[in-house]
Amino acid sequence: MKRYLFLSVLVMSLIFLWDCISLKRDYPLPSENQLVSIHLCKKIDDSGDLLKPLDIKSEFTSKDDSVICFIRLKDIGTKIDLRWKWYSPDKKLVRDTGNIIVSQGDRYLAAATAYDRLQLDAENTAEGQWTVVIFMNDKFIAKKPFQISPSSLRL
Amino acid sequence: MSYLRITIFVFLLPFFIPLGLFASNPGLMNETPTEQDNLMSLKGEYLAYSYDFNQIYGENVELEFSPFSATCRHIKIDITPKIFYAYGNVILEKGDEKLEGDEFLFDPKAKTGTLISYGEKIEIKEIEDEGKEILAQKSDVPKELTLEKIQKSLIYFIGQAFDITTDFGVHGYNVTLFVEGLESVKFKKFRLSSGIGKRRNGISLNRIWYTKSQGLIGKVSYFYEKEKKVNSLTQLNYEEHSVLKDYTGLKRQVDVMSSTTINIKEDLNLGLTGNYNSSNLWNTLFWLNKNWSKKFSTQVNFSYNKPINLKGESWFGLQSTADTGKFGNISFSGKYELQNQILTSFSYGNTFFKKLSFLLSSSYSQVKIGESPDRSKILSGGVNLSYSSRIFNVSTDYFLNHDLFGDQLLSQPQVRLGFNPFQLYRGLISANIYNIFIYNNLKRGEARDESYSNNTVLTLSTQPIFLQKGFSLNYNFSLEQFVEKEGRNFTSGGFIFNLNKNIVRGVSFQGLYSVQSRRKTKDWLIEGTTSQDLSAVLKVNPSERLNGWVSFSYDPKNSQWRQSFADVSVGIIRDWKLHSLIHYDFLLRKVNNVDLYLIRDAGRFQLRFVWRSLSKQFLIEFVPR
Repeated sequence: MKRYLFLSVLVMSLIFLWDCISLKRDYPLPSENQLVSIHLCKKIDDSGDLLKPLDIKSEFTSKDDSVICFIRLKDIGTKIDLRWKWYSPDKKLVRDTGNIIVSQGDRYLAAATAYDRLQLDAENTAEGQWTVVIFMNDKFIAKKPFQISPSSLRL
Repeated sequence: MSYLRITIFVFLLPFFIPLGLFASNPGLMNETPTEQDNLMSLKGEYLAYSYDFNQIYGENVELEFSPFSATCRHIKIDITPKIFYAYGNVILEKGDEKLEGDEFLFDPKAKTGTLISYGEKIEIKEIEDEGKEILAQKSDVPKELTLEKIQKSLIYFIGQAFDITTDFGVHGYNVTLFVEGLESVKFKKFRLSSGIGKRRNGISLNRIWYTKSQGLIGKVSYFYEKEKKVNSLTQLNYEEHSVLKDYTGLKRQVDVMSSTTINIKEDLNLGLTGNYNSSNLWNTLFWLNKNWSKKFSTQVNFSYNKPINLKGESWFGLQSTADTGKFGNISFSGKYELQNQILTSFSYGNTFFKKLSFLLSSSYSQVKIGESPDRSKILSGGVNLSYSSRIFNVSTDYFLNHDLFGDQLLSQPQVRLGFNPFQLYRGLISANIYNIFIYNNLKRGEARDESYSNNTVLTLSTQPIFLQKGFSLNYNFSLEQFVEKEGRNFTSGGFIFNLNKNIVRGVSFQGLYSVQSRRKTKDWLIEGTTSQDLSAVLKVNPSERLNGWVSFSYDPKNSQWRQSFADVSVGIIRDWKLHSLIHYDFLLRKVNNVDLYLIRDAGRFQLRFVWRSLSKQFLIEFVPR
């Protein structure tokens, strides 16, 4: 008797848990093309299918060769283009990649990675707080501030 | 509780959690914010609210907070620290005025914000409602707020229309509840969070309840507040016991508690508190407080206290504190009762030459001894003088207690001398020495009693000595000598060896060997005890999801294993983790206790299922954090 009672309660509970096994969704779903992460780094590992950021930092020195802004996206089902804009400490635009097509939208991508590199020049790179801003399909999606310190502070 | 019952309960839990949460606040189910209470409205293609973290994420959103309206691609709101962040094609409108930007950090209550655009340069515009000052905007964009984090919440809601009230409560319309990622019930109108607790003026019925032990219970309160002027709360608790069978106590009981504070001026306030219990017990206190300056204040008070079966007492009091800067801090308090009872105290403290501190205190009490006409009279006082330097610190105390009624006088001077911890062998060894000498003189009538004691303590400890990488030793030694007039002298000492070894990454071993000895010395006789302990702990922490340790304790002196503890925590799925604590007693040769925890960390709260073998208890705990 107890076994039947237990099984009945279990089945009823499972039915409740899955909301009467309704397959029809009548609640909104989030959009595709979700931003997963954004990192600043010095190197990129391109050995796998997806790129990986290496030596992630938020502070660089003017002796570093470059700063890489790495981005990871997921659930890509439509055409997307990305654009990076780099701003110096005096808030002026110093680099604009323009729109770069990342996906044509002809097939679904579970994940995608992309990056842009800002070359640093030891003589001319201004020290202070820089900002990199990323746009997806002409809409702002993220920004990342970073510091460029004098090379003597390099550890 | 049988396993069947536990199983049923666990399976129905996803439905009990929301019901439990919301049943505690019935207003959550149907209350709609009035226009006056509404701070901001949100409409979007996708809106998600996490109950765990009190955060909102939205896509393609239209928002309104009068007189502004805006549209944006994304919105992130962290309700608790009040961070509002809209970004992606932000279009902000106020009447005919229209502004565009990429980011908008704002405060809907202050009607201010910062609109940022990324063009040829970064342009920052400060936005404000007319006549309002621009407040410093929080520059913290909620970085930890992501859709993924909300979808991993234990409880979250999805909908297309939310309202945020002025007390930062969140209401949702046509929302779907998700419990642990599984779609659950839907609500047409729902208060998703109750906001910051704020009591409203008027009478409220807090509770009507019935229990087998207390009978019928009712709680009513009256609250009145006029901002910065008056604050008053009166609570009435009623218990009706006559409905209970075989109840031997009072048929009913009433408790009334009231507290009112009135701020007459910024530097003058008064208060009245009163408590009444139907068993003929009541008290009341009236006080008036005046701050003459930031450093000088005075309070006068009157209180009446009526204990059960005793005569009531009426006390008049005055107390004052003054901070006179370089002349020190002085405080005085005095109370007089109509039946000739007196309580007074005085204290003075100051610091001289930055290192010498002085404290003088004195008190006198004259109180009734039961119902007899006699009064106990006690005068007590103390002086403390202490000096601390880079090398040592010295302190002298003098304490005096004079029982004028019992003709008994206790005076107790004492001296403390300690060296500040000093380093030897370039910091390898740290040493500490201190000494306390106490002298007691008790005079009772003509009889006089004297006693003294001296206690000296020396401790030595080494810094960890690394023999290899990941392998270190350290050593602690202590010695204490106690001597006194009565001759109950003793010497105690001991040492602890501590060994730490990292075996592989995430696995470490710690060994500990200690010897403690206490020797009593009297004339030529030496007696005492010695104890030894050998313990080992193995710690395992290879990843964030697995964490544990096991310890063993052994008594080398008696060649006997004592006890063992094991503690293991394993992350299961999402934010669920299983935690167990086991205790094994080698002397009794049995597992003494097993505690099992199934824990869900859910931001603002923690849900815990606990099994305790010792008390055979199964508990479900909902712990707010």
